[in-house]
Amino acid sequence: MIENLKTILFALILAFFQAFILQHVEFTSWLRPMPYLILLFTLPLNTNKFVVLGIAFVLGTFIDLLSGNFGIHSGSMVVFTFVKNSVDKRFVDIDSLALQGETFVTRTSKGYFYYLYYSISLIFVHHLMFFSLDYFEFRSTLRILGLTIGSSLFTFLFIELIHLIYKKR
Amino acid sequence: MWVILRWIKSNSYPILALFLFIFSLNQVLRYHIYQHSLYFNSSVSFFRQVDLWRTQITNYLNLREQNTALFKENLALREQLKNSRVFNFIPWDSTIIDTFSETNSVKQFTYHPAQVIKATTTLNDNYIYLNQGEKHGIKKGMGVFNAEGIVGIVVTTSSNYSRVMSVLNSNFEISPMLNRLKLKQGIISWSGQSSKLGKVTEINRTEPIIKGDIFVTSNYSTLFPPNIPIAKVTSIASKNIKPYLDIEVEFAVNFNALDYVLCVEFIKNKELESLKNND
Repeated sequence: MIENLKTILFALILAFFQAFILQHVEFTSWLRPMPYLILLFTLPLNTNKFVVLGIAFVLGTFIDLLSGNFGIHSGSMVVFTFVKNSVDKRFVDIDSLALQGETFVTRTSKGYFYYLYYSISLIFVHHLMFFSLDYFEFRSTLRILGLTIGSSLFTFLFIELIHLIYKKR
Repeated sequence: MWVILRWIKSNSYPILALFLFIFSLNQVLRYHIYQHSLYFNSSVSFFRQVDLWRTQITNYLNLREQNTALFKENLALREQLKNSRVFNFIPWDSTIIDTFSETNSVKQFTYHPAQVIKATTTLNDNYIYLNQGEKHGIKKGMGVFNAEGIVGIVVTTSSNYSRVMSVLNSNFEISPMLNRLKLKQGIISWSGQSSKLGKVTEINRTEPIIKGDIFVTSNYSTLFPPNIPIAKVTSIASKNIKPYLDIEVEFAVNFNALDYVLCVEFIKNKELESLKNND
C-alpha cells in the first residue's frame, strides 16, 4: 500500500517537474529531456502488464493536460510501454534478477553496457514516437531523428542523475 | 463467434495498447491545430487524387457515347457548311450577300453517317463494309469519307449493308486539287504496296510541287464536297524522258483504324448527269 502511494507520489512529482519546469527550460533546440520515463523503468517487472499500460497512459495524459500537448505524451507512452513489455519478455530474465534481489534492470544486474543499451534503445523508441507525433511530417524526418538522438542521450543522463540523488538519500 | 472472442481475449494486451494509442492520436489530430491541418490537407488531397482516378476511368468508359454524340454534332455542323451549299445571289444588290440564311442558299450535299463493320487493307482490291444500306438512304456511287480524309466510293448496296470500294483498290482513281498552286491536274491511285502510300500521275513536270503539299478533293467533283484531304506528298521525282512527275503520297486516312464514316450524296446529281449525256 505504502509502495503504491510512493509510486503515485513519485509519478505526480515527475509529471509536475516535466510540465512546469522542463517544458519551459530551453537547453538547446536539439535537447528536450523527458525523465518521467524513470517511473516505468523502476516499476517491478512482475507487475501486471495491463496495470503498467494503464499507469503509462494515465501519466502521459496527466502530463498532456498539465502541459497542453493533448495526446502526444500519452500516445508515445503507450507505444513505449508496449515495446518495453515485449523487450522484457524476450531479453530480460526476471528470475535471475529476483535471485539478485532486484525487481527491475539496474546498472549492476547484468553489467553497465547491457543497462545502457536497454535504457537508451527504449528511450529512443519513446522519443521517436513523441517527436513524430509532434512534427507529424515526412519533410522533417531529419529534424525528428536529430531531436530523438540528442534528447534520448539527455534523458538518459537525467535518469542517471535522479538515480544518483535517490541513492544518496 | 467464440473463435473471435477467444482471439480477442488472447490478444487483449496489444488491442488495448492499440486502442489507447489511437485514442491519443485522435486527441493529437483534434486539439493540435498544426497536426490537424496537416492531416486534413493531406487526406483532402488524397481523396481528390482518388476522385481524379475515378473520373479518368469513367471518362474512358463513356468515350463511346461521347464519340457518337460528337459525331452527330459534327454532322449537323457540316450540313450548314458553305461547302455543302450553293448560293443564289440576289442580282440587284450584289454587295449584301447573306450567306447563312436558308433562302439564299440551297443544300448541295447530304450526309449519311455509317459505321465500318469490316475492312481489309492487305489485298489487291480492298473493300469496306458499312452497317447502313438502301433502307438508310445509301446509294450506289456515293462518296465515303471521315474526319481525316476520303475513304472510298459506295459500289454495291443491299437493304441493310453496303460495300465501299476503298482508296486501297487497284480500280480506284480520283482527280485531286492542290489549293496552294490552284492546280487541278493529276490522278491519285493506290500504289498497291503499303496501306499508307499512293502515287500521283499525270502532273506536268513543270509544276513546282514540294514535299508536304496536301492534295484535296476538287470542286469539279460530284462525288465529294471540295477541300477534303486525300493525301500528302512525301517524295517527288522527275525523269528527263517522262513529261510527268513521279509523286509518292501518304494517304490522310489511317485505313487500319476506320470507325465512323460519312456517305455523301450530291443532291442534283441526276440533273447534272442528264446534262452531260445530252452532249
